[in-house]
Amino acid sequence: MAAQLTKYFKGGLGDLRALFDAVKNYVSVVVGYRVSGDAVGFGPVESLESLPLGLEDSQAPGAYRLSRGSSGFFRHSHASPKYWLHLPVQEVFTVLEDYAVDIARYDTYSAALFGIKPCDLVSMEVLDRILKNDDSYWSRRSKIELVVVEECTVPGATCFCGSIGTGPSASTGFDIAYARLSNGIIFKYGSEKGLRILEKLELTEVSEEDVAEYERAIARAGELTRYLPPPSEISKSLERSVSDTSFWKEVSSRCVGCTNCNMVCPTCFCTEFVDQIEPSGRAKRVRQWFGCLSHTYGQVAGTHYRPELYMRYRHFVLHKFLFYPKQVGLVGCVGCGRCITWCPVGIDLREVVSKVVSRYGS
Amino acid sequence: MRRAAVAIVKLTSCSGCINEFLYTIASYPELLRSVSIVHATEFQDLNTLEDIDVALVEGSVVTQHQEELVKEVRSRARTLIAIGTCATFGGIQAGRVGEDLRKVILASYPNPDFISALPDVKSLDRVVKVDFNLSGCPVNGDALARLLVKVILGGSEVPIAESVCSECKRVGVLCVMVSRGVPCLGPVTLGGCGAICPRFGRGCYGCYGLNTTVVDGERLARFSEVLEKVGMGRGDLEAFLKYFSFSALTKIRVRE
Ligand code: SF4
Ligand code: SF4
Ligand code: SF4
Ligand code: SF4
Ligand code: SF4
Repeated sequence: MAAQLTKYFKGGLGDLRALFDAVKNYVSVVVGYRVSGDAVGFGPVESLESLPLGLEDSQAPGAYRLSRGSSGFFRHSHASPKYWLHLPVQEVFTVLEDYAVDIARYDTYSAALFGIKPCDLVSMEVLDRILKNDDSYWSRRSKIELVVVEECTVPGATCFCGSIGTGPSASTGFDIAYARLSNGIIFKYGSEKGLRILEKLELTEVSEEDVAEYERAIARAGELTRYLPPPSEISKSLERSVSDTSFWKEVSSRCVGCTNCNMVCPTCFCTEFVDQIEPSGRAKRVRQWFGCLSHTYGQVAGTHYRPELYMRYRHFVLHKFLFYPKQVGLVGCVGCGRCITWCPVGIDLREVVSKVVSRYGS
Repeated sequence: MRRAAVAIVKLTSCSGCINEFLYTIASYPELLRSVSIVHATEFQDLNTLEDIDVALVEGSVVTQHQEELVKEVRSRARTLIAIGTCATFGGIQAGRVGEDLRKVILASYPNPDFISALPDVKSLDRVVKVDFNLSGCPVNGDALARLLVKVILGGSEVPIAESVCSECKRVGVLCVMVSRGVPCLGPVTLGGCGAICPRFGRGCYGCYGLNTTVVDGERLARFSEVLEKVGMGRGDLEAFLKYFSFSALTKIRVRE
């Protein structure tokens, strides 16, 4: 057990501030869930004050509220690291008046992610595998030199990371993780770099008691987010459900194809090209997020792959649990629950998946 | 290169879309190098309706004369673009359909005998073949300029049918309906405005028209229950849909 203990350190809010400053010195820009006005987005954060540490979100299917309070615990908003890594609107190139082509150049400054949630951490691993050959994505992703994760001891009401195994704690792919407990903050490291930074802070050693409390809190949060059977079971059931047209029509009957689910999903990566020809004769090719729930998504010259909305909703669910594993060896859903919260009609992915498994499970 | 002959035709409408086009010309004066305006009764004296490359038609058809005019324009124009929600869906004036026409006329004109209006309000596609529909109240001037340039260069465009929500999320706005309970028609409305209203903290009232590639009568009825929960009554919803999506309503079956 003693070897285990050295993985953890203990501190308070002041130490979190010191960690933030240390991280800030390490890179050109710190990025995270950024408070702006009465909303939380994702972007550069100047100081700890720009992080939603004093905010509390409450989430339910089709409903989200933010409130202020020192005891608050923030999960996430609609904005995930996708907003930073895979830009919503991205210029690809410009064709100039003389037909010369000006290829867009991408930012190259170093960045650190601070305070992102375990589900969002895994979403980056998924995006990495899908978009590793995408210059724009990779130019930003490869400049992320440090990742600090905030683990979830108080999960939200639409979170189900515990079912997928993507949370509520972080296991790999980070440098430092911290968890806020009632009597202090537990810090842990996930890389040598992370350890070196933590060692420079004035953190105290943890007691066995501290570790036990931390583990209890994480286990409790894990329980709270365990709604679904394991992903392998979900994939198998989904495979058997594909031709049950009436089932898919029923579960998507309230859907209006607004694509909010696609847009907020931290792993949805689809884009559409738009050619904007300016009156000057210049033409810009722009690439922007595009959701498979919209009608035009499945349209190709001469035909349409998924003309009916139920087919597109079914595709969304199948892609997450059946096709991503085949494509990149990871489940495409990280259980963040955003598609549930931000669906204006409150369609609950957990409910749909549960129904599929209860009907088509082994 | 020969300049393309463009006709700007106005039917029943408020001129807002034509104004948008003028603003666009003001911000891109180079447009006038490739365009020659052969017909625009609102802002030039000499107008011809001969050989038209592109007709931009604003407004809906509410009189016999307009019906003939738009057919005439169609027969002379290589490409016809319906601009704005009046031309593409019927527009605000569709609000009077079903009312006593004489009473409506009396409410606005002191001398009703000079007015000859048909009981129906028709979007252009109900009268002639329309090549491109650009909705919006008013139309998005940048989008209009880009389409026009594309068409003049011999290109075409496959419209992207997506909701205002797609744009709202790309801009990164916190959803007014989900996060504050403000009624919003964005989920069922065609995108194109860049989610202007939610960007200013307001709900969308559907001025780009119903996204009928997705929304049918059943889905609309279910969505109206969501709106009702956040405080938009049936009456208000029906009014918005009549003002901005009139011709779409006849296409979809609405459950009572
Ligand atoms: S499918 Fe839904 S719950 Fe899963 S990662 Fe995407 S937004 Fe989150
Ligand atoms: S769920 Fe749809 S939008 Fe998301 S990645 Fe898959 S196909 Fe693309
Ligand atoms: S957010 Fe909800 S209503 Fe909108 S497309 Fe997704 S499932 Fe359908
Ligand atoms: S504010 Fe309106 S347009 Fe924006 S996501 Fe919400 S429902 Fe859609
Ligand atoms: S948000 Fe809705 S009402 Fe506002 S400009 Fe756009 S389409 Fe019109």
